[in-house]
Amino acid sequence: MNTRTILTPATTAMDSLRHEFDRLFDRVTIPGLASSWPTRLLDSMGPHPAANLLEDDDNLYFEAELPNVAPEHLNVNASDHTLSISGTRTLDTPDDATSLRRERSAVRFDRTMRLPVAIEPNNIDARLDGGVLTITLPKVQPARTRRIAVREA
Amino acid sequence: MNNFTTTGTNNEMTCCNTTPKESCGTETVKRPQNYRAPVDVYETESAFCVIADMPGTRSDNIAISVESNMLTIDAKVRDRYAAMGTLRHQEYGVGDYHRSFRIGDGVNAEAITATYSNGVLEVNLPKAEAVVPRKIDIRTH
Repeated sequence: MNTRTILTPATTAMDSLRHEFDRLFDRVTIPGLASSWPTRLLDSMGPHPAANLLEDDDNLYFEAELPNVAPEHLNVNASDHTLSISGTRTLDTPDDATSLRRERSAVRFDRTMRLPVAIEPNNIDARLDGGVLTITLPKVQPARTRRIAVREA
Repeated sequence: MNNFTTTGTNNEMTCCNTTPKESCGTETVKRPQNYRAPVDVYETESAFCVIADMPGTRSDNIAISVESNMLTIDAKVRDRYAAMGTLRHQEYGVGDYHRSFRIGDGVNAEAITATYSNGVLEVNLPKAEAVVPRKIDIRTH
């Protein structure tokens, strides 16, 4: 008897499953072909993370998306006109696992941004919530001007 | 000076005056933007695991469903900039996440579990019994 024919059904079950996954993941990840959704940068977590900056009357708000970055692996430094963040992001790989698709990466990152207005470096609040880092940077308040009434002599 | 009123306000006024029955708010409603979250996929002996970066959402805003062998992940992201003033500099957009995969019959859809923490969604898809390799002991005589 041919050994190969006996083994075929069992391996096919596994193979077809794996192929189906591969094929679909391949299809899904080809930009423009698989999905009509706008493609975000495939790996937004690069060595220089993207950042948004918002402003209201009192503060600047620096925001960056840092999924799976632990607060203890994140450094924030500020001076009156610059803000820097740096750190490392790790990936949790399941034990004894075969990788079928990798779009995420473990990186050491840093990013420096020049701020449009002066801020108070001693009064900064940084929080990491759901993988989103938000840093509140209080603006330096300009010396208050007072209107002086001029008396008529 | 008053000539420079924002066009948005003008449009809204026109809309209200001409067609009062129509919803005036449509002009200002932000269109939901969807993003494809980057994923890693792993296979172990007993399961598949999909790990997706989806920062800025919450576990109760994530919907995972399996229908006709399609695994669909939808995550709503609230507009967190509403209370933060104006955007001064933008390098990325904030919006909902969507991703779907065909999973075949090899997955036990009833047993799918998921966790969300630090902006990362982890979906565990146990394989159906039929495809989990079974170790067969070989007896010695």
